[in-house]
Amino acid sequence: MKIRIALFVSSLALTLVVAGVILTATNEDWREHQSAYYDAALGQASSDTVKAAIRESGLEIKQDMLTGFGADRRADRCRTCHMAVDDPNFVDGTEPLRTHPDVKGHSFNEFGCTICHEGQGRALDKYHAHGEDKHWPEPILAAPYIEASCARCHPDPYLDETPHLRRGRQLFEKYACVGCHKMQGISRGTLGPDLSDIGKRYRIKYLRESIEDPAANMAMTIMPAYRMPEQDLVDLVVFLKSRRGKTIFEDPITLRTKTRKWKKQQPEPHEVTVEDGKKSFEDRACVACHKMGMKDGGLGPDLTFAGLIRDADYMEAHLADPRSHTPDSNMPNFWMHETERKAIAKYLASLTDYRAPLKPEEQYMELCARCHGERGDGNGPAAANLVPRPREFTNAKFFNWLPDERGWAAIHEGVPGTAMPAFRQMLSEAQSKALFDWIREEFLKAKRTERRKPRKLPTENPVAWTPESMERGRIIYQKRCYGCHGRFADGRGPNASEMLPRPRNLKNTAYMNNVSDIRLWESITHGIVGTGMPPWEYLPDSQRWDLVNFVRGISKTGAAAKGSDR
Amino acid sequence: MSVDRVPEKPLPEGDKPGLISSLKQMPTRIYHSIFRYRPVPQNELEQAQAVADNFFFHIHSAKVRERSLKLKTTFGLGMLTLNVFLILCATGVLLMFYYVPSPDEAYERMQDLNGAVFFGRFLRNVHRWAAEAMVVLAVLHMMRVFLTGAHKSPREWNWVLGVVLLLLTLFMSFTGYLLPWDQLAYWAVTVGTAIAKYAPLIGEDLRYVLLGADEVGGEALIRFYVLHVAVLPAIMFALIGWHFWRIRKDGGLARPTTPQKNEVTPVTPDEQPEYDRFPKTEGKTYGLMAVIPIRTPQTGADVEKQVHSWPSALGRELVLFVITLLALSLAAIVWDAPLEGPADPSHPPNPAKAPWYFLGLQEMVAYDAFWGGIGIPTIFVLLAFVAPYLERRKGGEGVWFHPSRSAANWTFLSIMLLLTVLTIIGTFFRGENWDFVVPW
Repeated sequence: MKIRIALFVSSLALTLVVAGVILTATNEDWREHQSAYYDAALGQASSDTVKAAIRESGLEIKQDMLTGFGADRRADRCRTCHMAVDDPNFVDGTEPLRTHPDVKGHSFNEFGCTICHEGQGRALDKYHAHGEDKHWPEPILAAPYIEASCARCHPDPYLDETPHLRRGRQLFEKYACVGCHKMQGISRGTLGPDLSDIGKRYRIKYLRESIEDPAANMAMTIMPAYRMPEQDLVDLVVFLKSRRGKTIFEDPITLRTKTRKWKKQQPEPHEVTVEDGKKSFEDRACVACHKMGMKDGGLGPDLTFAGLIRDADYMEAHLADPRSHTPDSNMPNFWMHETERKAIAKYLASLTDYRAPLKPEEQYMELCARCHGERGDGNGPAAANLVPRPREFTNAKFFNWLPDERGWAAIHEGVPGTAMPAFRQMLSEAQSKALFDWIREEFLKAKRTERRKPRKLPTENPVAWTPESMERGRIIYQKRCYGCHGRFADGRGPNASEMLPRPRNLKNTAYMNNVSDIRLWESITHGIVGTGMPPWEYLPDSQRWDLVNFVRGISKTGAAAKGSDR
Repeated sequence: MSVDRVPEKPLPEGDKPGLISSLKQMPTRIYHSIFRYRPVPQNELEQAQAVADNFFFHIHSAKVRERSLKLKTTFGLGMLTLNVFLILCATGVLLMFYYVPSPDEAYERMQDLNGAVFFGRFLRNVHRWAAEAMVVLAVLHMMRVFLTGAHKSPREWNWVLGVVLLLLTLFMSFTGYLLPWDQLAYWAVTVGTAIAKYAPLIGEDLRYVLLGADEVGGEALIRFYVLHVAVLPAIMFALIGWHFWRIRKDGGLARPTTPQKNEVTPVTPDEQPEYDRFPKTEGKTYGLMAVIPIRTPQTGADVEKQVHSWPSALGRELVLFVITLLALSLAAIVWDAPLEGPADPSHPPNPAKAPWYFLGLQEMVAYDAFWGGIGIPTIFVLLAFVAPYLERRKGGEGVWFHPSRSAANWTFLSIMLLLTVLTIIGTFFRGENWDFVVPW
């Protein structure tokens, strides 16, 4: 009996303890923060669909997997608590629910948080995540010190946005640190320790202490104690913290292009021949991705008839910076020398022997299927590497709405800012039309349904483009549009990955140049059938025009092209 | 003895065993095909059979001496060690699902366990504290055995097995120490394996074989991992089985030749027997039992009090297990297992310390590398192995601090005390550059 009582009591205690563990395991702080975020977002939600989506979203760990930093793989879970960093509606919020200030070109999915802020990206409680644990090498960096992180990718000459860093670099010489300390690329002192990667090894507190009282951390030091104004001390520490040996982006190829030796090896620009270009084209193994005749890498567009679809200037610019014409291109930059770029461009421009077949179905298979797919589903072999993705011809709603003129024009004139070239040198206007009609019939399996009566469209933009109008548009954009088009209007909002066709990159200058104010207004007002773009008819007309002006402003096109060109 | 199965219900006259009746009887039949035995024992015979018939229970004899169950006989230390080992196996398997033995990933997995894996932190804490507890419990168990003289004949070999198990426990703990791949793990193992280097002739090679390289790195991690999760547990399972089997074959727990009055049921309550051994006199013939060269059977002696293993022993063991689990869970809630920054071979902490149970060695190494790290420990281990063969005199079995064994006991205790003091000094009183510091 005694045993039974003992067993009962101990089992009861064990059950209580296990229940306690489960309770604490399901009661973490981040759950609270996420709930608070969703509650707040619910209050600000603009439409019922958004509200329903918020109500449906469960609490979960959010994680940014970052592989863009070479061997330095990171998983940042900061956004599990800091839910609002990407949501422009929380500008006045308090941490952890506050909008992150806009840092141009740095998206969270690509850069994460710890690459700048430090701290422990994988941890989920504040104590560990902010690196308050004494064992974690890099605690979170406070205000001026975070500039040290900018230098990881933006080395000397430092950015305008990092004045402390810039000043610290000057102070390093002003206080004659260079005399005793070695620092890669700056000084060669031998009396003191090498400071080339000092920022990687020590925390802010240690660095400050070592300047103010060098004996604090090393009793035998001969370094004099520096008395300097607080501002100087802070700036100098920012600079020291930024010294981490290598910068992150310095992969072997990039580094090689910066050496004097590499620059010397490169030939001076001179006249090049088609043969040079052909040799370079083969040496560079372009067919590892692209198609050329029978050789096919299966990843990139077909270059067999390159001379008929692009000119030499386009191709040279594309080789210098693959994102010059198509801002979302996937093609890597190979850092070729100007001479080589010219040669390859010349060679490609010379490829004009191609004759397109006569029948539309054969034309489609040879010219279109590589991107749009043999079944017209926008899933050709090259499609996965093209941003924006090739149009799917099976999207009946979209093609019933699309005016035929635009379909013909897309084939004949191409679509600037995307991978779609102009086929006018290969196909006559009539052939283009025939090809488009064949595509409609083949993939939609139906004749066009009669369009509803034509929309009543305005003839011109009644709101003149001004920075004020753009600013008004920006505020509306942040409320209504960022979810799909993204905070930076690059078409990569939080919901973008769930949509096909993907939301448009509104900063695509080349594309937007080709789109009139009226068409923008129509897309905003009536939405685009067959895509995720909803109609915004209920917005006041002036707001819609402000949005048009906002798009003009960020893409630097139309009326904004002259005004805001920096 | 045949198994006393529950008889099947006889079929009605002339009825063939049909599908319906088979289905009806199926649950009962399945139950009795697994449990060979009636649900609840009704009498002593069945109680004995319950233990003998059960795969898990039959590690016990059907009856055990009442004395063995008294707390002060063993303090349950051996059982506690086993419990902790079983908990280690269970939590260890669960941790294996999340762990990747690669320098690139191991630490990240630790971070995942700490935050992202449900129950992960708790699991890791339990495993960590159970590992530390097992080292302590195994040593305490060893002390109990020695101080009660339980290692003496005929239990010498079981003592040797026990010493091997203790060494395996230490090695197991040491190999597990590296796996989190944090600064603590990395440098503890660096220091720990550096001690092995002081062994003459084979020292360098030994370290190389253990680490698979000159430095602690990816090779060492995979080796330690395989040892920790496969090789050592398998060996330990086998040896623990042997250890337990030997307990029974050596006649149960050690006990005095003449039991205490309260431990026996007198055969004849009013008359104490005059002798307890069969008398042998010259010039007489005897029966077979008198001439066989073993200890003579006791005749007319009192019968020691015995109780059924089920439920007396097994019930206590179950309670002990629950208490072990409870204590470890509480420890896991209150204290987090240490996790320092990621391993960084270029930045040794000062001082770099071995795992705490090797700090006694490290302290001795600080005085003399060879004698402290290899010589004295080897002597101690050898002494432990041969102790039961050195101490041949009978007497004192099963009694704490028996006066006839005071010399052995004091020698043993002073060695243990020395090691404890050295370990405490190494753990708390050594700071930077292994200088003496006061921890408060």
